Amino acid sequence: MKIVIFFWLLMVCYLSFLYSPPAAGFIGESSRIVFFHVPIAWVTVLSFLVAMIQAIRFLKTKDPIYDLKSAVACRQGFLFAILATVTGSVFARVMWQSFWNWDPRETSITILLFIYAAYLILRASIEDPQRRAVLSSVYATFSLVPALFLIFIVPRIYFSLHPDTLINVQGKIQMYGRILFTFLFSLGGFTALYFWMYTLECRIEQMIYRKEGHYE
Amino acid sequence: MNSFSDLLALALVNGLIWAGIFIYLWRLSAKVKRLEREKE
Repeated sequence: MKIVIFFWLLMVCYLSFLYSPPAAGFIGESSRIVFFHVPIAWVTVLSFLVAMIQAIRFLKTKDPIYDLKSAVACRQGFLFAILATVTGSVFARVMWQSFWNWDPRETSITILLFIYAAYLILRASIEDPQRRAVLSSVYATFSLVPALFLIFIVPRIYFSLHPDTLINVQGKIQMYGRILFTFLFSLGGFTALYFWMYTLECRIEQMIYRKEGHYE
Repeated sequence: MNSFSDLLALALVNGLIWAGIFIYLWRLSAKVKRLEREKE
């Protein structure tokens, strides 16, 4: 599986740099950043969604494995959120001559980082595993609601410097031909990478749990 | 590629993404190695 993903992502690099033409409305070659930045942002959302699903499963079954999976998804979501913020900042420097503009999407992702940093701090601060699992799961479940609001609604209410990348407010796809193909190919590649990383870390955490009988 | 600064920005974006993912996977592999060591 990892070999397939490796070549898939290698292909993403080839398509992004050599196959796809630069998009109209962007400065120079900066539109190519979209092929990496947007899939990373998508994977962030996906990760927090997985965290919420696993947290709900834990709250329903009280099986600690689900809490463990929820924690893994949150940790990885946090990693991808940092990467999306930093790469977005580089894009902002090229497009708007400043690394940070307090654009609605930039503000949203900052708040999102704080929400999920608080989750990680919450987990680290409770010693009793059962209490930690219940509180973390409740937090992960409810934190997705403001997260979705911040990601999908706030940038559409206020004026944003960000371009509509795939589907605009009218629900129309604004990418065509080679650009759309490369974008979807990259989206698929990063999604596959995410699920590989997620299952890998879940397996490792389960091994630790079975060995030690408690969480790290 | 049109300009050096665009190329630099693209290289930076890619470098950051792959470095971030690589460091994370490195951390995971360290965990696996620790598990294997403890098993022995």
